[in-house]
Amino acid sequence: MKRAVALAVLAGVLLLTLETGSAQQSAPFPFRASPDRVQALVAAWNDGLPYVPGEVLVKFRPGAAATRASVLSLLRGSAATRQETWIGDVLLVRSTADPESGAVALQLAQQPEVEWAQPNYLLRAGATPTDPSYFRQWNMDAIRMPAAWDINPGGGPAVTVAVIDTGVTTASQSLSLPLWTGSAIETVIIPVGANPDIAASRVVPGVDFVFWDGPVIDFDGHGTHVAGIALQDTNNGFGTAGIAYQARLMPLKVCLGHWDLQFMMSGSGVPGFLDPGDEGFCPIAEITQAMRYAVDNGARVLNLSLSAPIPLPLWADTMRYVVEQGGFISLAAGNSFEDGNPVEYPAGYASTIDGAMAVGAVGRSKARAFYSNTGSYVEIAAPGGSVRDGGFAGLIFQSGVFFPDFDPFSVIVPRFDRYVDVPFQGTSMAAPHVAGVAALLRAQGITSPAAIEAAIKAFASDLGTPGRDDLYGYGLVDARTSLRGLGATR
Amino acid sequence: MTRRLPSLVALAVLVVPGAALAQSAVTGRAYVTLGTVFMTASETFDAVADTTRINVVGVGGTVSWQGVFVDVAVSKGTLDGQRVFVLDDEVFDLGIPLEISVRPVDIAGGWRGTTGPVSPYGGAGITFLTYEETAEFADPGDDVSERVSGWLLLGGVDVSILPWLHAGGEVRYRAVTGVLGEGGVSEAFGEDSVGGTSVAVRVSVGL
Repeated sequence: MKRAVALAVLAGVLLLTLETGSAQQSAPFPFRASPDRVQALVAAWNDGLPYVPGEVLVKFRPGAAATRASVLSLLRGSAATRQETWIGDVLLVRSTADPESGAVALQLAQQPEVEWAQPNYLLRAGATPTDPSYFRQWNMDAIRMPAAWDINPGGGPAVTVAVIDTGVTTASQSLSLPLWTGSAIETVIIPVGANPDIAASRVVPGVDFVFWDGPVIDFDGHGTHVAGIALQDTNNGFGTAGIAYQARLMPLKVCLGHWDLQFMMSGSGVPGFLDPGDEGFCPIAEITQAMRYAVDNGARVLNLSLSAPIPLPLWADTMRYVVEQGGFISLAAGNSFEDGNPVEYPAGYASTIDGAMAVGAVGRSKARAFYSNTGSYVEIAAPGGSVRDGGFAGLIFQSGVFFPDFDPFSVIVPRFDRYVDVPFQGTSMAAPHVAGVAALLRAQGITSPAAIEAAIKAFASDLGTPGRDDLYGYGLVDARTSLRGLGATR
Repeated sequence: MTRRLPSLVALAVLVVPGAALAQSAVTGRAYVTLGTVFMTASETFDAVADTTRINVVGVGGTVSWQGVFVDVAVSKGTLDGQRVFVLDDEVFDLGIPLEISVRPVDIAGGWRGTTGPVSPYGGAGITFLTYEETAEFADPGDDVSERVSGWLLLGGVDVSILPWLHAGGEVRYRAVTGVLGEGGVSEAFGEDSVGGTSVAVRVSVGL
């Protein structure tokens, strides 16, 4: 329904869209997932499962990894039916013989050699597309970006920000992809285009961990919007502004949206349309792989606008690894306040790790956004937008893929090569504000993730009850004051 | 204020010796000093300026009567540094230029002895210190200009080179609070004194 409303309003601003150049060149579709895994992912989509069927993550106790063969022999099926992939010191086991990941994880966790075992859970991207407005970036003033840009105009190319999300399209071309068109699976031409408001020279090679081996393509729009807040070009007389507009972007795709899975399902020879109402998911195995990849390949700021109410030791282990390697992590605190306000993860671990921050959202009036989770794990607040706080003008506008071009409720053959200013709301939008400021702080000279976190906290504008509180953490991030730091007396 | 110092010195040189001669027991000297202040808030200044010392120049005048003297001195020192962020003991330079200026005005009294050409002295008094701190990208109210007061101890020795020309060394310790410690790096380090120990060479003229 939300998407349908978005379609109606977005159609009204069609004139604002921009078409990127497209070379007439076809590309193969070497999907990441085997047909068996596509089947598992489709099952997760259709049945609303919180994990990938048949996939379990296992951490062995120190020195016990060598015994994994005997431990895994407890599982149904032969070794030939299993695939094993190491992610750091965690083993991802894929088994087609037993799709009940929860039961498998429980069985493995009871073995003395195993420290923990868990299903490969799926996280959700937290923002909801709504109707567009135009050039209303109140959020930049709210965190005093204009004054901050005077001090540090957009960071610099020495800082790379990894956006671990639905991807940010890095190629402008026409892809040939398999797609169910209603009567048959056909190979169709899908135009894709890079965001014209993020200079290609600032984009380092990304990696697609979930869809295919080709270039990173955002078939959803969430990652593009998130990346835009942190990194979109600024002072170029075009579109909207981004915070760290001279830093580099490393797009890492870990989420599957509707079209990703539709293409994969069709490529596996499975006819039919997916339920267009689902907003997609992001497997934990791929997310943690991407986090490690990011910091191992030079990213020093990571943004994760993804969350789920699933506590897992793997999160804390991976976050600590990233911070130890010098990476600062900004995490969305979650959008479930009105759904019971559960602690959402990985943000739920951030308060225990210096160098990782859980970010809540405020609206235009700087009051907590209605959806933004609260709790002791919320460390900082940033603009996330709220339709209940200023209407559409209270949302976060950033360059995004033109939604009517790929609205699964109305489109059979989508396109992803046109961009428009799109309003979103969510802690997904709040987190990249903090990531962008972190990139500026790093460019300014604060290189330690713990110090970046300390600076953001120390200079935040206190909101709510004096001092730290569960609604706003230490307050609203203040980019200008954070960047200006301390003198001897002030 | 600083522009007036040379004229004050000249006045002291011309008037005080004259007064001393007229009253025979009263003598006066004017002097200039060149020295360095080892700041009490060493961690603070080391963080923002990579040094714990401020070089100062000063002028002053002393009137003595039967070994007792009254001394007035003005000095000034500046430091260039940059704004920083501190976490635990680690200092991160932010590259934003910062300038600190300290201008103490000391009024002291004490005792001066004479052993041949050597004239040791010591005393105590009060100091009025103007502290200024400016940095780029300041909003109104960000820069600091405050005047605070404290106490001081001083001691030194003059050696007469000519009957009217003397050279020596001097140490002053100033204890001044009220500027540091309420914000910025000084708060992080728990340092609240803007004073310190100055060591200076001093050249005096007069009797």
